[in-house]
Amino acid sequence: MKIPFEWLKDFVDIKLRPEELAEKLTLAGLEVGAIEYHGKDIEGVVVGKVKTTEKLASDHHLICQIDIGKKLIQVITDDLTVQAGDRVPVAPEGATISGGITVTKTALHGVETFGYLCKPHELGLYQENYVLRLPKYSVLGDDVRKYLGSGGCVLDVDVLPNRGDCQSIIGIAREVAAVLDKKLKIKSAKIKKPVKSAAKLPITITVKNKDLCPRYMAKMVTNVVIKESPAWLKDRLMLLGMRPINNVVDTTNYLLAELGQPMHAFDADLISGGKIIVREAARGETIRTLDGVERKLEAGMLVIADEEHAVALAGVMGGVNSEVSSITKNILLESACFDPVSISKTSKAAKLRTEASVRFEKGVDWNMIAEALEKAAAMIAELSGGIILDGAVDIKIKDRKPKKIELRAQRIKKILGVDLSLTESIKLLGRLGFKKIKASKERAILEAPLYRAGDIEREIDLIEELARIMGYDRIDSTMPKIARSEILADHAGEFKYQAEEILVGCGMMEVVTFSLVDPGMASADAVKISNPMTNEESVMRTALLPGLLKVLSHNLRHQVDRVRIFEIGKVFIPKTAGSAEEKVRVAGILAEPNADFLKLKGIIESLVSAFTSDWSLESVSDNTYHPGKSAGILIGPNKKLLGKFGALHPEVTGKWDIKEEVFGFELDCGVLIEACKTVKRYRPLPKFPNVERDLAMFVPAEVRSSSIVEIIRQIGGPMVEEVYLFDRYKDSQAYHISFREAERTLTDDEVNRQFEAIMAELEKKLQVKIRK
Amino acid sequence: MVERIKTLEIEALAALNRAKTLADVDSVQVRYLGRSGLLTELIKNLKNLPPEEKPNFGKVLNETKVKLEAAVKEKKQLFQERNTEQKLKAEIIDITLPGEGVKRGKLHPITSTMEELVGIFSRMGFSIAEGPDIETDYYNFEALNIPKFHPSRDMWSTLWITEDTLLRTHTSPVQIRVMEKKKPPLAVIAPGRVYRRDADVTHSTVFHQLEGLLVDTDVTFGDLKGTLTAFLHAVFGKDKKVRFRPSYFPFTEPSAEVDVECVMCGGSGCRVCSGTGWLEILGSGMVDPNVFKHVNYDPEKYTGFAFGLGVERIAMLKYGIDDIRLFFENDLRFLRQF
Repeated sequence: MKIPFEWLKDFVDIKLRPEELAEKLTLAGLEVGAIEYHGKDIEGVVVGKVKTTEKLASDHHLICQIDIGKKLIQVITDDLTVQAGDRVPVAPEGATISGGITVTKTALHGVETFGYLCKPHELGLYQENYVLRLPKYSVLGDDVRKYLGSGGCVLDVDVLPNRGDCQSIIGIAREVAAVLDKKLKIKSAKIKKPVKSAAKLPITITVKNKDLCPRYMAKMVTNVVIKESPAWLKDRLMLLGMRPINNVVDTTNYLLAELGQPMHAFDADLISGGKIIVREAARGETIRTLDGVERKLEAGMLVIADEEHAVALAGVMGGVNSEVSSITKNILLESACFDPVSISKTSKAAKLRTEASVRFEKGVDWNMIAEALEKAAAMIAELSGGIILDGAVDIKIKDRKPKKIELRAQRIKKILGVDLSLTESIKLLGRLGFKKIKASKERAILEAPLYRAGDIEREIDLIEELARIMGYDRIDSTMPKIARSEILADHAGEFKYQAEEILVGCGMMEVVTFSLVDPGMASADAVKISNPMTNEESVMRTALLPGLLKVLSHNLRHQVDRVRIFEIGKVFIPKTAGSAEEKVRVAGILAEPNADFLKLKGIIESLVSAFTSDWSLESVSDNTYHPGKSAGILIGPNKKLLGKFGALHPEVTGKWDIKEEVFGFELDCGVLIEACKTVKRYRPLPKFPNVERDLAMFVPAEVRSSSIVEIIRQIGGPMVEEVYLFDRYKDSQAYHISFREAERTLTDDEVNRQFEAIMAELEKKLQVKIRK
Repeated sequence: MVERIKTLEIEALAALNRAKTLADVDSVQVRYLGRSGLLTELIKNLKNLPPEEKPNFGKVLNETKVKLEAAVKEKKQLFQERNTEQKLKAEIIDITLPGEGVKRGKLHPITSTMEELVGIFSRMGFSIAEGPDIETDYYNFEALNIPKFHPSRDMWSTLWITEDTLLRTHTSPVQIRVMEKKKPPLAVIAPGRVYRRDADVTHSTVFHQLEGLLVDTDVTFGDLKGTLTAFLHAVFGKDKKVRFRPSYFPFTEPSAEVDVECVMCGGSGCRVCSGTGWLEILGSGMVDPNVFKHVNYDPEKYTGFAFGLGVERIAMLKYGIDDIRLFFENDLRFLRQF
């Protein structure tokens, strides 16, 4: 919300500098995002008229020849809407634009540009991506500042969504008065006493749907002359970043800004049949709105219609068919109030947000509907020499009454934690327009001003206002006692910390990727977003590995190789349409020159064995993986599938143009978390010594290591305490065996017997060749 | 006889002095103190002397023996030390060669930041709660006092799945899920991913939030200020000023935006704080009585506060990162810096 500082002073005496006021407003909940000084650092920018335009090569730019009074210059702009005949602000070589930037001569695709066409923000005005268009009356070669408002200071206030009442200068002025503890001066534009006529309104008005239009007022001004507005009015509009149009439209825009009441001016002679009907749109009805767009109306949208067709999309935008033009003679002014939800729906459905719709969406001040209409009629009559017809139409449901709300001293203390007497509270709230109806020491009844009907309904609303107006800094900080009915377990969090630590220890970098992915990266039935930003972020991921491959591919493209990465995050396994089971997974990939299955398996062993020792591998068929270099991991007595790992299938990596072999894994964290809940039991340490033997052999290619271990255990029997492969070179493998009996010392003889038996069985069953 | 002993002593000490190696010392030791060394022979001969001479010679011989032994020991030690020193000198290696074994990876800066923030609240006594990313309209909006078509819905640009399901736009639905299941008192934080239909250098469709909720019989706005000030001091340092300013969230009232003195410029105004000297860090407020009604808590009995913050924003401030997209690109040259 743009608030010109001088305009604000029409309503409140302000002695503070704009910066000081901004700080006070910010701390009262009206954050001043910026303070703009119009034309502060603008130097040498002049009015120019576009003579010709021409597209620059295939680029998104135009070459314009521009008349800046005494000469013609060539300027390139990226605003393709610039047309011959437009008056535009031109910053020639050497001129300074907002931010103190000096314009220099440059060239684009070999075409020289001798200046710059300014967008509003580049002249210290509002943010917009189009070059500012100057009024027709602006003189070529003039300093552009003449046409940018009176060079005043404008506060940019971020009005909170619940504060519909602050969407006007008078609304902000009320807040300023409350914050500074001053009286509000009620004074508006300087208007002489207008000429009135006793004639009746020649137009009949009917409101068909009073739920959607609780109040509709209209007034007529006849014999108007449409012309340019006076300089003071145009200046103020330009300070708001509004384009001056004519005396009638400028008046409704001016009062919209000042009073927050949107009004619409119709050319009364274009209202067919002398009838205004407020009704819901008929099926298939259309209207061409003032922005020139032909719009199809839907059931439920409210329109203002004459006998034949819709003349305005109620509360959003007027129609072209009843637009005020240079030949308009008689004006019908509308001031009304529409149902916020209906306006919000209509504005969303029509994809049209206007100054009017944003105000109606948050609700307007019931009393202001009439007040604004009076002012508008008077102002138009004065500016256009028109005559106000005496009668005004006012169709309404019963008048809105201010709300009465109870405030309890004990409740103030309970919420805010401060000792504040009810008397002082009432006084503070009085500054915001709340009236005391009655009060005891413990409780009071207050009446909220009608313009706050939209956000003040309950006691808590009063307490908030109280805290706001006294200032949050007056409430002392305290530390709460933190009592909890129970300490909630955090298995998932603890698992995550531990898994992260292990994987980082294995040399893996953690990555965080989007859970919204391209449909090609998820299963066909993945949960779809109905209004995605882009196709690349349009479905919920069903696996982590594709995201990791995308990261790998990015890094390889940037010559970063030796990639070891992992991610812990949710995947969304589709259930019924639109819903999913959210599962936390851990996945990782290994892509480096010496990567192989066993390196990856080492990482898997470190990870899985941190949580459980009860796990085994099985061969899997899964087209994500290389059929001969992959495995599934089974956990616990029920052999639950934890996940898979191995070399990724070349077709999977090929999709990302990755040529080298990549190893990957993806495991279900839930299964691991369950597994590590098994209680660990202690086993006593052995009392008797063990006997150790090493066994080296040549192993045929098709024999698995697990078969060798199995035979050693099977033949060795219970005295085999431990077996492991400790060395491997080409086809030669060496196993370490530890023999032990729990209750006695083993003799060399019995160990040797077992050892011989093992060797014999290995040679017989597996055709290995023992190295002696 | 005494003279002979003295001469031996002088000879021996001179020989020791001349010794250049440990072997030289050894041969001196053998020559004089060995089993048939010159001094040893004299000592052996002592028994042949007349009884009256024995004590005197014995004493002198012993003194000499002790003296020579000490000298030999000293000399040996000297050479041993020298030898060790030389040996070590020859073994000098290049300590600047890289270490062997697996190089540790690193946590993503969002994870480490989130864990730091969660850690602070955990130490204060908050428990951790979680909720789904795919939420219903009810949990994400309605139960949080944001009815359908309410203009405040525009505060969140939502990614929808069906008419009734969406990707949560904030972690606040977890407040409702926790309160539905547990009775007060409770103190929980909820870390998680959230989604908005919004993307530029400071906004990402996917980002992370940390939500907090404390409910008990006497929780006040003063407690909210105390807790969040302590938190911000823990993150940004005790010397940083903190301010609370009125704001609006449909599910809290009174609501407060919490700012910390700009960590870049120290409050004098810079590009990062848009010249204001303050950084907006947290949204917070007292739980709105309407929210309590949705979960069947008695708003007359219980009060509470809630807060939420964006993790990427904190990480960006902490590490001076100016483009949020870097977090999700996962370029290893970026990730290795943390």
